[in-house]
Amino acid sequence: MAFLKFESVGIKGLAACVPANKVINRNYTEIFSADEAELIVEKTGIEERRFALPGTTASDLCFEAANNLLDELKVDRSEIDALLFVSQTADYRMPASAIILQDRLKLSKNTLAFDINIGCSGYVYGLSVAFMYAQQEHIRKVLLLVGETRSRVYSPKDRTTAFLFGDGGTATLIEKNKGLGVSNFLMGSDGSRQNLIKIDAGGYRNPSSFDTLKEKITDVYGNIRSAEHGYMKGSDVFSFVLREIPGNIKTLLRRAEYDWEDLDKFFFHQANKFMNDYLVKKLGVKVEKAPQSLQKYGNTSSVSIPLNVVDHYGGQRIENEAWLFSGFGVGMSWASAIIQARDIKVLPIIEV
Amino acid sequence: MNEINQKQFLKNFKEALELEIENEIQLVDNFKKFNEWDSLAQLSLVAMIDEEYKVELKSEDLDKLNTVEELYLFVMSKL
Repeated sequence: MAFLKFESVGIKGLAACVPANKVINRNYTEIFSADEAELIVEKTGIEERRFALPGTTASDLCFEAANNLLDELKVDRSEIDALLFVSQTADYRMPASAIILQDRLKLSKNTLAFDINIGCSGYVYGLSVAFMYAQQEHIRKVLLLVGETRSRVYSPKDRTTAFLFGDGGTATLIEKNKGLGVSNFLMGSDGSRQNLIKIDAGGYRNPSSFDTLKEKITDVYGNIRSAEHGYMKGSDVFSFVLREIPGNIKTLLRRAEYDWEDLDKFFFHQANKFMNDYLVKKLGVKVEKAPQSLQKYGNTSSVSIPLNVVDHYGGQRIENEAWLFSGFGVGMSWASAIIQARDIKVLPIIEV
Repeated sequence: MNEINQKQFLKNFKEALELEIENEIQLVDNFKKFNEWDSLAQLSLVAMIDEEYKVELKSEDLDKLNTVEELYLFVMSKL
């Protein structure tokens, strides 16, 4: 069982950067009618999203968030010994964006740097890797950058995804220190459900071609996309979440020896209001303990958990709280963690 | 007993799809022809069947179901 426990490593700071370019869903009516937009907004709760302008990438958003974090926390950049970039919208197929960011952020050449490609569960996966490195004697600080430009993954002519996704970049600083407490992780994977959220072509199984770029009508509702656009079977994703996530979280609490009351905040992946509300209700979590920011940023995939923390706590220093993180989605892949938040500086969100 | 279950199922179904009150539904109705039927309604249906019956409704199963009765019998067969 992928249950992980860490002692004396933890998060020291969090920052996020979103594009200033705001898309108002009720006005997103170039292709679909205002009535359709209204229905989708009501159900999904996603009022607005941020779209990066052409030329701006996920790594650019992370670069801004990271600079802000390192400057505000007055971090000596030579002490960053590991840099991780979690994204499925990297700058290039190769090299890894993390390596380019090592140079852009003026980090030492002694820094280890690589990308992690995983999706909505990615922040928690990235954090587990960061914690493992941080436990190493000679790794002083780890920088975890999580960024996505999901606005570019899906077809604007496919109403099942056109109103849901947005862009953002985050930076998390991880350190070792006796006072940072204990954290617990529990993760899982189900490749049999790979077809629930997918981009069929453009990788090496189905390489990019003229045909894969052709837009086609995909269903009886007239939704249009190419084989290089993402698609999502929303109702089956919802079923998957109901099957796997409550059990994952309950097992994590039991293994970590936590009661529900011990947790101050629940930061769930921000999928859509219908799913998030249902999950919160099913778990019996108090609504005020589970902040939502999906109405402002939509579903930002791996970014949504740290973005939600920054949206909720931006400008504050967290002295001593216990947080639950839970990410789930494309793969299918899921991961939950209980983090002791001790002396974490959360910076206000910035825009570019 | 069966009749009570059916009646309750129709009520749950109607609430899940937010059908108009005056819009009486019958077991023989093809719900995929309802104006309210779309991918968002499907989410609500999945939620209702999970909440009320603890049954998972996959789209591959739903693809084969057309009438309210077929859906009802499918759910009952999974209980």
